[in-house]
Amino acid sequence: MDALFAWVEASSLSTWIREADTIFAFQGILVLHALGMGFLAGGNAAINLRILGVARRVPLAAMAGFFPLLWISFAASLVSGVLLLIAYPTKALTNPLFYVKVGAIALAIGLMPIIRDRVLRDPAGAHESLPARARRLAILSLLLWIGVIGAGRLLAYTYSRLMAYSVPTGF
Amino acid sequence: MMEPWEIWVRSTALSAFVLERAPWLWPTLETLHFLGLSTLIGTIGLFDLRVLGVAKAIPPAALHRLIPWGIGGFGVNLLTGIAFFSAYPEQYAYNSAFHWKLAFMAVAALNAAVFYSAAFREIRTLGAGAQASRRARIITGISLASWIGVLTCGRLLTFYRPPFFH
Repeated sequence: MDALFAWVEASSLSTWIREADTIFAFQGILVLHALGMGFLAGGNAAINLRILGVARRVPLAAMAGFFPLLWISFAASLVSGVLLLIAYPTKALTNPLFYVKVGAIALAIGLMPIIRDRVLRDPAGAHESLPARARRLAILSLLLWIGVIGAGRLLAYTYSRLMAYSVPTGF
Repeated sequence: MMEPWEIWVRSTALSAFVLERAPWLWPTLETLHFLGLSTLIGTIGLFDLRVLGVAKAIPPAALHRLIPWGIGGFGVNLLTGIAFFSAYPEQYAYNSAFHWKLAFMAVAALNAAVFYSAAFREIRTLGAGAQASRRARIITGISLASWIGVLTCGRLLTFYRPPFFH
């Protein structure tokens, strides 16, 4: 795998992201990733809070109107995340926590259409008391997004190798 | 050379606590800081977006009930932010990204005062599907832009550390 990582790291795109002396390279991509994640996790949290009983006068079905924003945020996070992965493939792919983060994202994203179709747009959901199943979905989604953010932040502290052909960093 | 105020900040119990609990406390505080900003942007940001015309089927007054959660998120970030500052005051005090972050927060705070004095009465009566006035949309647009500015500067902080950061 090291040969593959090294090949990616030597590519002009990877090098540009890491080394270009412009705010639009590494720094800008990190900002895009943080903004995308903030809107994606935060928007999902708001929908889950509504399901759990906060701001009850907001019609559940109307909350689905924020889904296009959530998909745009996901796209921004995904594109910027892939670019960060191209910049430092060894750093991410040799860290078990990276796979925890990707797994949690896959589950949390997979829950979104389920929550939209079976909770927000469920005609029975217009009533005050939602079934326990809806509340469980909302809590699961909240926990997954907390896990994604925790794992994402810890990636900066838990990697064992930065690049394919570099000395291990001691911290 | 440390200024007297830096020596004082570094002499506080909080500063010693944050530094001694390394390495696990700092990433934990950072995670809480990101959870706080996500809550803020997911509540205040979504409210601003509704006034700007997204998800119009929601009456803005009903969505406004999410705002206390956004204020709670800001509170978490204020506390974790003070903890960061206490441990490495010079990293922030002499950092242009931090100065811009504070400036964007000041704009957001002033703008919130303008919102509640000049637009909230209209927003409270705005029904499902209704379009907010141009004035309300300008104010909430400034709110959204300033929080995006705060987040952007926060993420860029580490790249603008002063050279004598230790």
